[in-house]
This record gives sequence, structure tokens and C-alpha cells, in this order.
Amino acid sequence: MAKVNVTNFLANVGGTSWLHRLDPRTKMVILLFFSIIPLLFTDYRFIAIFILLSLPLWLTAGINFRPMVGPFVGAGFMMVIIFLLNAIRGPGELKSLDPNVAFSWYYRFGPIVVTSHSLTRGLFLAMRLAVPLTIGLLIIATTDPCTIGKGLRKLKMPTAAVFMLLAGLRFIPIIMEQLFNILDAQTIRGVTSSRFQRTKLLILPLFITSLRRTRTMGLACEARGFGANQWNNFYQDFRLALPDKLLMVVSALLAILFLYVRYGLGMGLAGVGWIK
Amino acid sequence: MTATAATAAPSSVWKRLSAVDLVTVAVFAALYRALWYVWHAISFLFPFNQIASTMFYVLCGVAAVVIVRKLGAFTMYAIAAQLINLFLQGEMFVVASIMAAFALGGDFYIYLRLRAGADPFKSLRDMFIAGTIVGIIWSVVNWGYIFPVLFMTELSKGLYWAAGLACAAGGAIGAWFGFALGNRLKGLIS
Repeated sequence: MAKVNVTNFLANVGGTSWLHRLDPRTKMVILLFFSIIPLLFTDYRFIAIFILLSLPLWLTAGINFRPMVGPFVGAGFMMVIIFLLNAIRGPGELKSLDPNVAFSWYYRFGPIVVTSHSLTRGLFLAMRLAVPLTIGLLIIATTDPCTIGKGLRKLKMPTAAVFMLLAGLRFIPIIMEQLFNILDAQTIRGVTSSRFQRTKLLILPLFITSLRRTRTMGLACEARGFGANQWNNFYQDFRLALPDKLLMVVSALLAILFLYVRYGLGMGLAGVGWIK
Repeated sequence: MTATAATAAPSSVWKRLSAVDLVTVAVFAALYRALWYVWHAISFLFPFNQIASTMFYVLCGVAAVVIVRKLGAFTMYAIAAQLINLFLQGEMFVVASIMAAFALGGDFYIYLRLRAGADPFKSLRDMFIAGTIVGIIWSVVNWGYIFPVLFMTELSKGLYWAAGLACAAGGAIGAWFGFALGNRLKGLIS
């Protein structure tokens, strides 16, 4: 198993670009906008508009893309699978009477059929996922998890949920370290190379060592009176600056505009076979 | 059961989750995330990795509930897992929000058992049922809504049924092993 450092892309959180300096609440608004609104459209031209809208954010965020290769490969892999699952059809596609799957050309390779429609649909669906997946990566790559936690508290998210988010994010590197230590120990002791056998032998020691190492933190929090006070005040000043306010207003206006275009004018819909 | 015991039970149903409980739940959510890398190494590919995902999700959830032994632990585990999913992987917000609610069914069953005066956290049968409920909800929502509607993955209906049933079975297996794992871990860490 390759030693994947899942927190590599957090190397970007220390940047100083305008996007890094945005208030976490503004970033949540951006995340919500790009996660929800594109899903309302099934026309690839509208999806292209959302991709174009997100491009300036990527290009001006001053991000080092090298540490983000892993997450990008993961998102890209998912999009490729979605594309293939939709583009590759069976011979039944050629006999379909559904006008939404009408095609102008097709290729047939034995039991596999690719039509002009299935190819377009596959491309559209992969593009449609690209927007919310990549915008999530952009936000987490430019925001310190602690700042996200504080921002979520400012948005009145319960302390317990924020605490668990921060604890979970903090523990993942510890658990990954334990995981690779155990795998190395298995190799040194000559454990069989069967991946299933190694996984079976891995689980119990991984769970015990991780729990033992992390529960100390819970005890320390209890000792300091966890839950006695609301966690609302931070030494950092969370104020919405002009860029935050501008972005929020622009996001709200764009959301209203896209909702009007979609539901008021009835645009942005295209038959993609499965969902009409 | 006496009338006194039956009326006393509801007051003890809700217990505050302490920091240690929350940390335990968060660790299991993080362990579930870490295990993604393990089953990817065993070559489970999307979308069929969902079967392994359901099994390990329920396994970690039930183990966390057995250790914490408080109502709401399952839901907190689901919330923690999806927050990690959202902020570490960049999961779609809509999908993460839906998936965070999956464990409510399990907690509702635990609530009913607690209200009935039972101790579901020590019962393999109850934990198995609670975990299986979560697995079934996962399966139904995943293969009935998220994949066909949100991801627009067009598979044959037979394949959807097969994947859905396999996921539900994975959840049941995860619940079974999760109870055994949770009990064993509780003894080892205390």
C-alpha cells in the first residue's frame, strides 16, 4: 500500500492570498453556492458557466498544486468512473424508443455500445460533479481546520459537532501513522503478503492504539470543564471585511439569478436520459 | 418489570455526551476514514466500494456506540464521519448532509429499547438490529437516491438491486462484528 499522506494538501493553508484571508463564513457561503446551485441544471452549457465562475477563485488563490495531486486524482477518478458508467451502454441502447436517448452516431465493440447521446451524457455528468467536488477542495485547501471550526461556531453550529470535526481532523494523521507502523511491523515479522490477511490482522491493534492515544485528549478537555461554557469567544477577530461582504452579495445575487433562470425562465434543462 | 422501573426508565434515557465520549466517537469516525485507504488497497472500486464502505461504516459506528453506551452516539458518529468527509475529501455538501442523517434510524431503535427498560448496548441482538437499520437506510438512500439522482449513475435496475442488497448485507455483517469489536475494545482500553 502506498504511503498516502492524506493531509499533504493542508500545506496550502498558510497562504496569504485574498481567498486565504476570507472569513470562514464567506467560504461557507461559496461552498454552499457551488455545491447546491449547479445540481439544479442538466444542461452542460450551464455547468460550463459554473466551472468558469470557479476558475478565477482557483487562479487567484495562490495555491501550490503539487500537494493537491492526491485529492485531485481521487476526484478525477470518481469523475472518470461516472463518465464510463454513463457513456458505455449495452446493445439495448440502440433499440430504445425513448426520444431522450436519441443518437446521431454510435460505435459498437461486441457487447459495448457508445452512442453520441451516451458520450455527451457521460461528459455532462462528469462535469456536473467537477464543480462541487473541486470547490470543496479549494475551500479546505485554503482554510485552517481550526478556523473552519471557529467559523462554524460563529454560524451557531453546536459545540459538540465542531469539537468532533476538529478532533477527527486532528486524529487522522495520528491514525494513519499508526496504520503504517502496524503495516511495517507486519512486514518485518514476515506476515503473509495476502492483503486480506494483513487487513484482518491490522484492525484490532489499529483500533486499540488509536483509542489509547486519543482518549487522553478527551480526559484533558473534561478536566478543563468541557461543556461548562459556550465556545463563542476567540482571540482571533472574526469580522466581515469588504471582500467578504462583496462576495456574499455577489453569491446571493448569482443564486437568485440562477434560480430565476432555472425556474422562472425554465432554462438549463436538457434530456440526459435518466433524469428528464 | 414493575411500574416504578418502567416509569423511571425514560428519565435515564438521555445522558450528556462527555468530551471523552465525543473524542471516542470522533476517533471511530477518523478510523472509518483511515480504513478507506485499506479497502482501496484491496481493490474495491467505486461504486462497488460502497459495499465495503457500508460494512466498515456500521462496524465503526456500532463499536463506538458499544464503548460510549449513550443515546445519540450513533448520530454523533455519523455527523463526525460526514464532517470529516466534507472537509477532508471535499465531498458534495448535499450528499454529506443526507448521509449525516443515516444513523438517526439506529438511534431511534436504541431510544425505543431504552424506553422499554432494556440495555441495548450490552445486547448483541439490539446492536445488530440498530446497525442493520443504519445499513438498510444507507443502502436505500445511496442506491435509491444519491447514485441515480445526485450522481446520475445509470445502471440497470438489477444491478441497483444487487448493489443495494449487498450494501444492506454488508451493514448487517458490520453490525455483528462491530458489537464484538466494541466489547473487546471496551475491556482493553479501560
